[in-house]
Formats: sequence, structure tokens, C-alpha cells
Amino acid sequence: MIDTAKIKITKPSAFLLLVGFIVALQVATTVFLLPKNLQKIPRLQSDIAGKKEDSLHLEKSLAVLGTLEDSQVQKLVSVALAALPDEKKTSGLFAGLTAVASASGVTVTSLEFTPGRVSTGSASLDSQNAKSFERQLPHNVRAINASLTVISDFSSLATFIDRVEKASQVLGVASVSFSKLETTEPEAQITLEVYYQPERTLLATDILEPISDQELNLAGSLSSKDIFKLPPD
Amino acid sequence: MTDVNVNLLPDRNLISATQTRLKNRLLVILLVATIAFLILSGGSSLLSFSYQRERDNVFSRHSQLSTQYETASPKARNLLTIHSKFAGTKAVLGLRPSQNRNLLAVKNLIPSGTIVTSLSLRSDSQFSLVARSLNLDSLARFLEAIYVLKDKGGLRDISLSGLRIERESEFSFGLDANLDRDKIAEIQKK
Repeated sequence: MIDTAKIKITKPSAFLLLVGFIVALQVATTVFLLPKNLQKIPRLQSDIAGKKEDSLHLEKSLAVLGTLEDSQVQKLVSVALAALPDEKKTSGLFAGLTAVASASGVTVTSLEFTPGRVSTGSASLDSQNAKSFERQLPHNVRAINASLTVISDFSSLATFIDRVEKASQVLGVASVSFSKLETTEPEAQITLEVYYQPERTLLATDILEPISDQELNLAGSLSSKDIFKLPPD
Repeated sequence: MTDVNVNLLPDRNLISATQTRLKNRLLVILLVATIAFLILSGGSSLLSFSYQRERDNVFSRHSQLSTQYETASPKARNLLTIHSKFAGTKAVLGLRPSQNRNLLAVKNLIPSGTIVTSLSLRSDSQFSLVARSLNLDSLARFLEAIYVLKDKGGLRDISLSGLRIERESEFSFGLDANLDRDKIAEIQKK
């Protein structure tokens, strides 16, 4: 009788232990797994969102590239690079300006870049020195000053400046100083600004936009045969 | 003598009812714990798995697109160059100084009989000149032209300096002013 009662009491205890063990196991597993999974989810979400956005950019860019013909792009690139080169056209400038000057009846006596003199072959400025003489314009465009001395009368100089301004977008005429106007050899000091764009404004990761009508119109108004060619290295 | 048996244990039915209640309670606890376990661990694992799968798909799509883009990258680089250079060129065309029209505007300002001996045009449309008028009439014509342009807004901040009578009724003087070449062109057209 007593043994029977003992069994009856022990049986629920074993069951209680078993249930307790299972519940403890579940709680332990949950405590271990849940934070791990919960931590993982935001990271996965952010990865997905980032890559989705990148993919969308790539899809858009590929769609734009699909609409463009290689020949059209090549032509526009040559116009764009001639209009605004990556490097200062210091060496090509002297030849170009001399040609325009001679066609306008103007004699170039010197062309000097601060601090180098082109005609003496020392135009390559070291980068540290060059920076202090450069002017920064929007879209990463930089302007470097050049001082040009010419012998010319008033009308020829006007023609020369007009031709220089029309011949290239690389140059701007900042100031003109005329002296000895009464003599047979009037002298003019012209300060030129030479423009170039060493760095692109757009990154390879940016979404590509189609070529706009405005850009096509601009390309139409520019010449791909810039007179101030950079000589080959 | 009669044996008397006293059963001190609880009534069999009583034990059985207590055991059943305990068992039921334990079963409920187990059930609740299992459901909670399934919801929390299973749900979070399922969610994590589903995100992982989506991530794999998205990454695989991205990799495909990147390969396509790599193939077209020379064209893409050229297109970026076009946009970049044209934006820069537009800025240059809008901002670059131009002295051609300033030079013509000043040239047209000088009447006959007045000779400019030196001229300086600066980037902000400011100019200064030193001139010589051969007689009083020429000087008067020059001053009148200046006055008319000032009146119509073609010239401002005018400063006349160093007026001197030279030999044989010649006059030399200096002039500093700011010019609005568009207005001057408009006035000179009329």
C-alpha cells in the first residue's frame, strides 16, 4: 500500500522534471537564437536596400547606355574634350595664339604663364606652385592666368581678341592694357585665363543621364577642332 | 482481538484528482512554452532565412547588372566625360571674361580729334584711359559723348582727372569709368 503511494507521488515529480527540462531547453534556445536572428535582420535589410538601390542605378544607367550609339558618343567626347581639356594647354597655346595673331596682323612678343614662360619651355609648373595661381570655377573648372604681350594697333587688336574668344572656349580675355598708342609700335599687355577641368564632376557610381538637348545644342555650337591642341607627349 | 487498519494516506480519489490537475497544468505550461518557442525562435529564424534568401537574389541580380555595366563601361565613362565637360564648358562660357565688346565700346566712345595714348580694360568692365584732344571742340565732343552715355546708364563711376592744356591748345586728360557694354551698344545703335 505504501509502495503504491510512493509511486503515485514519484510519477508526477518525474513528469514535472521532464516538463521543466523541456521548457528550460526551449527558453535557453530562444534566448540564444532570438537575439542572434534579430541582430541579423536589420543588417540583411540594409544590405538588401543598398544593393537594390545600386541595382536600380545600374538598370537606369544601362537603359540610358542602350539608347546611345557609339559613334555619337565618340563624336561628342571629342567635342567635349576639345572644349574643356583635362590639362592646361600651355604648350599648344603659344602655337595657336601665334597663328591667330598672324592672321589678325598682330605680332606676339611673349607669352608667359605665372611663373613659367612658355616660349622658353619652362611652362610645366610644379603642382604646389600652380595651385596658388589657379582660380577655381564651378564644376571643378580651373583657370590659370597667362600674360601675352603683342604689338598691334587698335583695330588689329580688336580683331585678334575677337578671334581668340571665338576660336576656343579654353581661353578668356581678362584684361587688356594698351600703351604707346601714339607710336608706330603700340604695345598691348593681355591677361588671358586658360581653362581646364582636371577632375570630372561625376563619379563612375553616379546614375547616367541621357544626353540632353541642351548638351546637343552646346556641342553643335562648339568645334571639335580646337586650335589650341595639346601636343602629343 | 480485532485488527484495526488506519489508512493515513489521502483518499485514492483525492490523489488522483490532484495528480490530474498538476498534469493538466504542466501540460498547459508546456504547450504555452512550446507555442512561444515556436513563435519566437521559429518566426525569427524563418524571417532571417527569408531575408537571407532575398539578399542572395538581390546580390545575384546586382552581380549580373554589374557585369553588363562593366562590358559597357567605356561608353559609360565617355558619357560621364560628356556630361562633366559640357557642364564645365557651360560654366566657363557664362563666367569667362570677354574684353572684345568692351574694347569696341571704348573705341566707339572716342570721337575724331581725340587720340587715346594708353588704355586699360579690366575684367570687371572698369576701364581707364589717357587721351589727348587736339582742340577745344574735340574735347567738348568727347565730354558730351561721355555725358550722354552717363545719362543713359552706359557709363557710371566716371572720374576725369589731370586735365591739362598742352602746347597749341591741345588738352590731355585721364578718364576712369565703369561701362555697361550692352547699354552702350544699344545707345550706339540708335
